[in-house]
Amino acid sequence: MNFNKINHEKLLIIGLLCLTLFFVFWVIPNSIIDPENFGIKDGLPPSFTAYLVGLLTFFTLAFQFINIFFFKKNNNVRNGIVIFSKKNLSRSFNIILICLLYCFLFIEYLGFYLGSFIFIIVLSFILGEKRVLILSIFSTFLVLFIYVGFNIGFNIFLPESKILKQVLEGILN
Amino acid sequence: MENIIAGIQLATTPEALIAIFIGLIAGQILGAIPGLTASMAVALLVPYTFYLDPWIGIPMLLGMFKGSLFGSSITAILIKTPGTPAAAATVLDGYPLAQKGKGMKAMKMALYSSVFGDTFSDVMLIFAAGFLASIALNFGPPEYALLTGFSLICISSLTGNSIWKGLLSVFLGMIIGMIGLDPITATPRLTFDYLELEEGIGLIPMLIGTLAVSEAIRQMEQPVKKLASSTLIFSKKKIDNIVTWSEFKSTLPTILKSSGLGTLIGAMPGLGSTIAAFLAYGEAKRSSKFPEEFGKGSLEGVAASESANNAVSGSNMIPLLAFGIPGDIAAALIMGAFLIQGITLGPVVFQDNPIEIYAIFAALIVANLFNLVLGHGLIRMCKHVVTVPKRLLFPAVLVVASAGAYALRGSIFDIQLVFIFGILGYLMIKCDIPTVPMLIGFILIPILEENLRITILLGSSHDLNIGFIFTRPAFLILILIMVTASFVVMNRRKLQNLEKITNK
Repeated sequence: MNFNKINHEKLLIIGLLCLTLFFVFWVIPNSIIDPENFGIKDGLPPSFTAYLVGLLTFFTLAFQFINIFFFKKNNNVRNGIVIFSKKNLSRSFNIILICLLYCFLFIEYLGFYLGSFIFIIVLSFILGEKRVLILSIFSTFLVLFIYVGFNIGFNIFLPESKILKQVLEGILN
Repeated sequence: MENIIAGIQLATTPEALIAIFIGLIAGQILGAIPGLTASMAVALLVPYTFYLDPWIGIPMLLGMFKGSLFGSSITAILIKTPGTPAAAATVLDGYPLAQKGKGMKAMKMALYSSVFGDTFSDVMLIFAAGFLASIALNFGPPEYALLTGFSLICISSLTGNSIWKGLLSVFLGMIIGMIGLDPITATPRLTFDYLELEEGIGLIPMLIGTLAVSEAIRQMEQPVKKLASSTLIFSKKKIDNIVTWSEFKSTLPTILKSSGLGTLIGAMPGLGSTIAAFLAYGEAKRSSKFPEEFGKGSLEGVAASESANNAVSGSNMIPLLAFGIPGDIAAALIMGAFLIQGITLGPVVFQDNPIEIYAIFAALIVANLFNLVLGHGLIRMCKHVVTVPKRLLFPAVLVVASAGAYALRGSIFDIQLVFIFGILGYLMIKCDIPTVPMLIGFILIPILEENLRITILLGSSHDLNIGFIFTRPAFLILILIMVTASFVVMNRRKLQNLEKITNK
């Protein structure tokens, strides 16, 4: 899935134009409701800036769209970065997936310390660290370091494990 | 005078000095670790300053920033990995010197020129900020709206490879900045009844995500081999490991000129240290007696880029202190730290918190002196620092970033925001869209919107309607300055492009 740089630029502009239109015609009307009878003498309505920025974005993209599609001006494209090569696509996907699992599931259900311990091991393993001993020592050390710094040093209690709490409560009851 | 003495006393208490010392050591080490950029390192530290006394947290942050800037030039010289884009100019001559075994000499020259450039711009900041702030006190909403709008245009058009991408990034930041309650009517905007969004997006999670997490993800996608350590060679001859007085004396005019250039560029929002470093490098090459040595290991080249990029760090606080407008990501980070402590930077700060401002100035100068001393220590231990394996480093960065984001408000939502902005920032980097304009757009939209709305409100009660702004002398003078500045910058850019074409 190697994108040509110029095609990538074209796709990017088309995608962003669609997103901008969606923002102006759906997101703003459905998420900003101006107070009734709000006139110019009251200042500008709350939605004004959002519409202004939306329209400015649209015109910027439309201008670039015309430049690239009609006048074939794409001088800066050569400097651009190719979005994804075949090699790093799956790698990036895995990294992002683990990050999302960490912030939406691990921390929420396993708690910060246990979640971080698993996260460091899994991510470092994907990045090429296969030595189990190093992995376990490093992640234990880091989690302990954060625990000492936060719980003892700053008195900040990082999220606890919901699952462990339930299990412990079940055992105790 | 009393305020100045009180400020110096505040910045030189044992606690503040220790804080600067610790900040510098941490900054130098973090900056010297390949992949950890200066802004990334500072973004990770910002939330922790909330739990410290302001006059421990802020000096520590200032020290850390200065330390990380120097630290990042070490990776540029030794392993061709600039810690900041600005250090890319240092690579041009620093790396060839390191390949010849003269890495120590290059690093020492980088240290001396960095500290010189830094001190030069800090002195300029001390003189210019107060003067400009006294002028800014006469500004009303129309002038602020104009100044903020101009800063946004500058930042978007001068950051990155293409103007449209810079503009897009600013607009995205402005949209994100609008999430939450409308500042005037308290109407929810772009929240979709999601309660956590009504408070708005926090600046710190956004900064950590966009600066630290996105960069970590980008570096992690590199092939496994690149994530391992590297090898270094150092010459054993004494002359290759020191900067002699005659060598320093011969580069002094270049250092002076580059520091001046860096200070001037730093004072203008959006231009930043990368442009300063490359402009100074080009100028040093043009005016050098030995231009043929540039790119092959010239000490003058290292001195030019390092003094210029460090000179930006002091002067980019001029628009921040004088007008409350961060001209650069470093200034935005420092602004974030001050906001955490309940201090809003801008012209009024000289009246409301004069002691704190003079304390900042004193802390900046002290940090430069410490940087010079500590830098020598770091140079000796850099062989070990630059070999930290990235495959262990980046997961640790992500965990520390999450803990820092949570610490501020005790909300898991902030951790999620860190990763959402990290992924967004990563995608933007991949699409060659600069992330800095987004952050500045996010920070400036409340100022712009509020002043724009008040200006229009004022206009509605005026005979000339909105045309009343042209009856204000301050507004007209500002327009004149902006037009002149734009003309000069565009001319300079054209010259740079022409130089690039002719060099090819």
